[in-house]
Amino acid sequence: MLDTRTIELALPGGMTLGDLDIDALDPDTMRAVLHAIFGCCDVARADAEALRETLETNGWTVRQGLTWVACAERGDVTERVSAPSRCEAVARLREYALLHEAEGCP
Amino acid sequence: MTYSTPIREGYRQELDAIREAGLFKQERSIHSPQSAGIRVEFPEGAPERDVINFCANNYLGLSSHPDVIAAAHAGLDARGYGMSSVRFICGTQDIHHQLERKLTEFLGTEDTLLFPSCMDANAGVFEAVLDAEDVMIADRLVHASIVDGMRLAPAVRDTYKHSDMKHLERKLQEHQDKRRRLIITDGVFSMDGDLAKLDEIVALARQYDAMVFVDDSHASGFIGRTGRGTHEHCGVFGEIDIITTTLGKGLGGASGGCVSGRAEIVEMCRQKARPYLFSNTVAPMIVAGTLKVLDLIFTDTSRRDKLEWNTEYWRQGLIDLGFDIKQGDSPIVPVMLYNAKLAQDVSRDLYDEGVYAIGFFFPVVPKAAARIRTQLSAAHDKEHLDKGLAAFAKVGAKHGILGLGKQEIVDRFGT
Ligand SMILES: Cc1ncc(COP(=O)(O)O)c(C=O)c1O
Repeated sequence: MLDTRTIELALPGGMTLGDLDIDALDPDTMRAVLHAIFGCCDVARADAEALRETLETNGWTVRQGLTWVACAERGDVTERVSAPSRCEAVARLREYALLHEAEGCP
Repeated sequence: MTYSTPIREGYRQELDAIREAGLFKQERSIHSPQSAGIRVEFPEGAPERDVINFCANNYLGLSSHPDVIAAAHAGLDARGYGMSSVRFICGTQDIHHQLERKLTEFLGTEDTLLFPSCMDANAGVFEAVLDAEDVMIADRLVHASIVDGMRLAPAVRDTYKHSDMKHLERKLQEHQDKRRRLIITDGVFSMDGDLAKLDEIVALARQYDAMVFVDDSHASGFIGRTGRGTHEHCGVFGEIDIITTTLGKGLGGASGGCVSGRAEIVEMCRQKARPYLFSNTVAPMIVAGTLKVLDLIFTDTSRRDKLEWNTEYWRQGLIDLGFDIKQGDSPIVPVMLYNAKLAQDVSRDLYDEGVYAIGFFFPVVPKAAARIRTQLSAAHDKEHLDKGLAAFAKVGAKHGILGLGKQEIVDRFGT
């Protein structure tokens, strides 16, 4: 078991947290926030840079960023979308999943 | 050894799961040409039986038409068996271009490109003509091959409720910020046999600057006064931007498909659609056979007229017997049973009575919408239909479902 560590952060610009903000801190959001924090630490930075350079040498323009991913699975069908916000990701996921309401007849 | 025991076991378990879920598909061997009457061996090894076929997409009865067979023979003699090449290397013959011109004229478009199948046409077209700044807005009951094609395309995917024009309009408004909007629909929906409201869809497309895509696989050759398709039926002939259709149903039933539509869009497919670029196209004898099919139906509507008569007679016959059927204008006539086991039992009993009609249930159709899908053909004579109706009457009486509506069937059998 790892030691528990606490990170203290000052809220920006005199911000206060209301009930709604507290509600927003549900486990999914917290997990995503932590992933983002660790992602920003970028442990494998040198490797990632080398891979990016290789891609660019081969003519690709590379952009990277943090994003929300939403995924739905039913049987052997998987739909997966990424979007800048969680709301948008889930909304788009729903639209894609609706295309599979039924498998359909040949 | 690459195919190790755990790999084999893994597949076996997956197959067992499919069996346990009641979704295992079993082929039935047919020992005759495709027609209104066929000779079937089912299950494997069982004695062959002559049955009336109510589940083929042989809408115009041309699958085994002597003139089509003769034309295919002549095509085989004149242009050989295969091309051994994709189209743009050395796989294009004069007759491929001839067929593309004829389909263009028949469908009322600007140009046409053949694909190995309509599945391939749908898999390739969206990726070839749309980019990330574009949006695809599809009816929620489009064919599986369209869903697959949409997954391959970089454009934003969205859907509207089945045939709900208000919902489509909202989606078009929502996506005004996109560069191009493409409305996507089947012409005739294969589950329920209902027709897309193409007149309203085209009007909305005009109002909101969108393009229209129609998969007319279950319509080409017989829907509309001269059989040109759903766009003819709805009074918007010449106004559809992209039509895909199959040569594997009404138009002879062999195989092959096409993208037909605006010249630039078809040219984009010729340059970029991967199933066209990386797969052989329709074999010469099928091209020759399909050219004959188009000859037969270009000016003579007797086959689609007979199909229309057969459909009307069949629908009315089933209604008179007390079956609950889906209303519609197409030769797809679903007999609603709602319960999956009932659909399987009725299908089996019909087979024992010499009628071949398949039961469909979830996940093929939505939950609680199990049915027997019957499909009419111009190859059916009245005698076939009367025998079919007699079998439905006997089996319906056996299960006590004649005269029952949805709720009563659900109350008795569950969903
Ligand atoms: C609406 C629709 N589109 C496309 C296809 C695929 O046609 P093909 O057999 O030419 O691949 C089918 C066939 O089941 C279909 O029903």
